Amino acid sequence: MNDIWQTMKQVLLDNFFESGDGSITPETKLGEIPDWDSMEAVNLQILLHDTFHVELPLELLHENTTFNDLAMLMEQPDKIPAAIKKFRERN
Amino acid sequence: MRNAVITSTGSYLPETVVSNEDLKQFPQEAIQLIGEKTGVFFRRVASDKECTSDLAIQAAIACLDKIAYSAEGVEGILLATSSPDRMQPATAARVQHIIGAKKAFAFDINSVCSGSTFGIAMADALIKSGYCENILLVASEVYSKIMNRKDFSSYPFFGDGAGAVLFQAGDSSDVGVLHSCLRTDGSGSDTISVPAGGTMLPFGKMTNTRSAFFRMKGSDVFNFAVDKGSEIILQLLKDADVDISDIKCFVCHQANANIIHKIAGILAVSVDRFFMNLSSYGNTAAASVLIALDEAISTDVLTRGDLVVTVSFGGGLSWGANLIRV
Repeated sequence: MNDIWQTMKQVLLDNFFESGDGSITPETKLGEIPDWDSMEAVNLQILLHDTFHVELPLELLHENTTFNDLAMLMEQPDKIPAAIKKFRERN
Repeated sequence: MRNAVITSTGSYLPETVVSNEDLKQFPQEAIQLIGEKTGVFFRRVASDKECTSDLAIQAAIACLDKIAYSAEGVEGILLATSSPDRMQPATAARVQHIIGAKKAFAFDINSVCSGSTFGIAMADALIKSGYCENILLVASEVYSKIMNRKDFSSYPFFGDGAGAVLFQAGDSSDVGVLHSCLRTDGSGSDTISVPAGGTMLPFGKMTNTRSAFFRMKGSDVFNFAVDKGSEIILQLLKDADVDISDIKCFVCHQANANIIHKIAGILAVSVDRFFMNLSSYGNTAAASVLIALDEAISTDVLTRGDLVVTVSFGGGLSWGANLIRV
């Protein structure tokens, strides 16, 4: 999990944060990414796929999703269907 | 009074048509977002061998050929572009050489997407001052080569293309460019940019390859465009003492259909009076207004004597508008 988080952190810093703006933690929410919107969600979806080879549906990339949520799904992609179900029940 | 009068227009769009569905680098479930967010469904993309001046040359030739005007008679070429062939020299210089405009001076204007309206104002000023009898204004962009093709926030929305207008001196005060308003707010200079490749961040000092590509803060740009686009049209008409009902057509920068709808709503004008071709070409940055103007005139949406407002907004931040009687 720690390796996944470190890799993810680097991808996030390289692609969504300006240099020097590196204070992100696993608890940081996607909505805290500068200029976060549905377009950036697609960019994150592509980067996660390119990096971890995991297909994550856009509906899980919402503003309240934390980086920790994503790291867990990257580590255990078989839990994605359950995460979708939980998300739909909550919304 | 001496005025800059439109005597011909032309445009050039590369042959290759790319639909939203052709953008295989993006997830299928995201494709419909492109149309919903922007109204763009197709765009033209330059070939590997085509650069910005190649498109500009084709548009310039189309413009001059339409009225059988010799390039040798052109006195000045202004080229609006924010995707130049090279850092230097000016892209306009190659255009001047290839079309054979031997007498003409030539230089570039970089006001990003506002390039056409800034260029119209400059052409008008050069002619009004008596410095030139004519100006060939060209706007050309090849954004497909300055964008990260996997950046969903920018790549799907843009297209390549070029437009041209020949302005000649006229002596009627009621025909031609009647008034222009230009504005810049440099506090927004990071909102739309290609961060690397200049002296602020030379390629050799770049630590992240994404700095080499075009980027924009989409939601900031949207709000800026709606606010300033509508504001400057009202300012232009107020300055010129022209009623909005007298405007036959608004030729707006083709950035986003939703921006144009919002501007029309603020002005309380039917969106049908806004010329739109962005569903076919995407956002062609500085070129969009001149391409649209050429199409509006070629298809008789605009005919001699009609009043048109051209308006654009973009990087800088910059925005501008022109009142023209064609």
